[in-house]
Amino acid sequence: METPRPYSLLCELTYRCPLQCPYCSNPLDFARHTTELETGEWQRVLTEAAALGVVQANFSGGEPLLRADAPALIHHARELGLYTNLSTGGTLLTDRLADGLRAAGLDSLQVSLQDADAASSDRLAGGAPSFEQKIRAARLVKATGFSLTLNVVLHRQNIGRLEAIIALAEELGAERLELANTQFNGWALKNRAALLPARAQVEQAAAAAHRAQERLRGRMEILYVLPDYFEPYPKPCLHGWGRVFLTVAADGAVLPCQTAREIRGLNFDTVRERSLADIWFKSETFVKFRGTAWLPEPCQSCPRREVDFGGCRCQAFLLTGEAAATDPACSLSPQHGLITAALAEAEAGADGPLVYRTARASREF
Amino acid sequence: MNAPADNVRPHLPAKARLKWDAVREKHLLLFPEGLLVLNPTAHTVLALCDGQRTVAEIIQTLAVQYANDALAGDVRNLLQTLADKGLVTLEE
Repeated sequence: METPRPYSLLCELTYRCPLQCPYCSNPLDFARHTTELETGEWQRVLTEAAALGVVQANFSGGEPLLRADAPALIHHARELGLYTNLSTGGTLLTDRLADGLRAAGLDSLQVSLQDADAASSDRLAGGAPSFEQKIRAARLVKATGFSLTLNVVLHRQNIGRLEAIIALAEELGAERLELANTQFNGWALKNRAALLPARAQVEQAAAAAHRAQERLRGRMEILYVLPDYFEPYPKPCLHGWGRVFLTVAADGAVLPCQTAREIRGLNFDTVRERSLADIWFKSETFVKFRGTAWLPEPCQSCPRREVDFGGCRCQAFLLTGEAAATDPACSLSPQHGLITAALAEAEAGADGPLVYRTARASREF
Repeated sequence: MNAPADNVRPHLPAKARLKWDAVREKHLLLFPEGLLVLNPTAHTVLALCDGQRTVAEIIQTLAVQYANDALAGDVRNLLQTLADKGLVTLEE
C-alpha cells in the first residue's frame, strides 16, 4: 500500500512557557532540549511540509507567543495556502499582538482554560496568577474578529465544574469548546493520582456535555473527548502512527506525535539533518509502527485493528515498558489490569500533590 | 432533521475555508483541528455559499450543472449537516 501523506503539522515553536500545568503534553525532559529552531529553519519546515501534503499548520508550544516571530511564521504558512491555528495560554496576548496575528492571516485561535473557577485555575496553571489574563485574552480574540476556540483539559480537580466551564465559554462567545479528558502520558502520568477522576464524575460530565451539545447546536461546537481509561477500546491514536499527523518539536526533532519523546529507545531525526519528506517516508521511527503489520496479538487478529491501530504507543511504553505492546487501555490487552488498578485507586479517592511542569522538575527526569 | 428553507443565504464562517489540495488533487474544507475531503458536488455547493445566493438558487444552479433535478434533498442535507457542526452559517 502506498504510504499516506500527512495532512497536519504541529509546530511546537518553543518548550518555554509561563504556565506549569501538571498535565502538560511536552516531554518530561523538555528542559534538556533548549536549542530552538531559528525563523528561517521554521520557514523551510513549513515549505517542505506543504510540498509533502500538509494542509494544516498548528502553532503551539510551550507558549508559542514567546517567539517574536510567531506572526511571521503564520504569515509564511498562509502564503503557502496552509490553514493556520495558534494554541496559546493567552497570558501574553496584547491588542497589538492580536492585530499582528490577524494581519498575518491566522485562521483560528485557541486559548487554554484550566477551570471556570479563578482560584482553582490559578492553582492548576501554577506560577503567577493567570486566570484574569486568560479571560481578557479570550475577549480580545473575539474583539479582534477571530473565531474563538477554548480548550479545557478535564481531570478530577475540575471535571465537577463542567457546567460552569460551559457557561463561561458561552459568556465568552466561543465558537468551539474542546473538552479533553486528560491523556495520562508524561506529566499527566506523574500526576495521575491527583488527576484521574472517578467513574461517576466522568459519567456526569459526559451527560452534561451532551446536554450542552444539544442546547447549543449550531452556535457553539462542543467536542467532548472521552477518557480512554473508561472506555472498552483504546483511542485511534493519531489515526495511526505516521499516517495523518507529524510534529516538529522546538529543537527540530520530528515526532509522530508530540508525546513520542517519552518512548525510550526511539531515535528522532531532526529537520537540521534530513528533509521532512525523507523523515516521514523513510526514517526508522516513522516506519516502525506505521500500518498494521507490526501489531502484536491480540491486535493482529482483531477486527478493530484498522479502527484503533492498537491504541497509543506512548501509553503502551509508559505503562508496560514495551512500545509495541497492545495499549493497556484496551480491555482485550493482557495488561489491562494496569488500568483497572489505577481506576480502583481513583474510586477509593486517591489524591496526591501536584508535580508542576517546571524546568527544575524537568531536569530530574 | 431540520432543513434550510429556500430563502436562506448560506455562507462559510470565518473559521472554515475551501482549499484545492494540489498534492492529492482533491477539494477540501478546512476548519479548526479538522478537514473534510469533498466530492465534486459537495465542493460545488460550498463554493456557491457566498451569503448572496439563496438555497433555492444554489439548488437551481446545481440542477442545471449536473442535469439532475433530484439533488435538492442532498443539498439541504449537506448544508444542515455542516451547519450543525458550525461549518456553514444559515441566515436569511
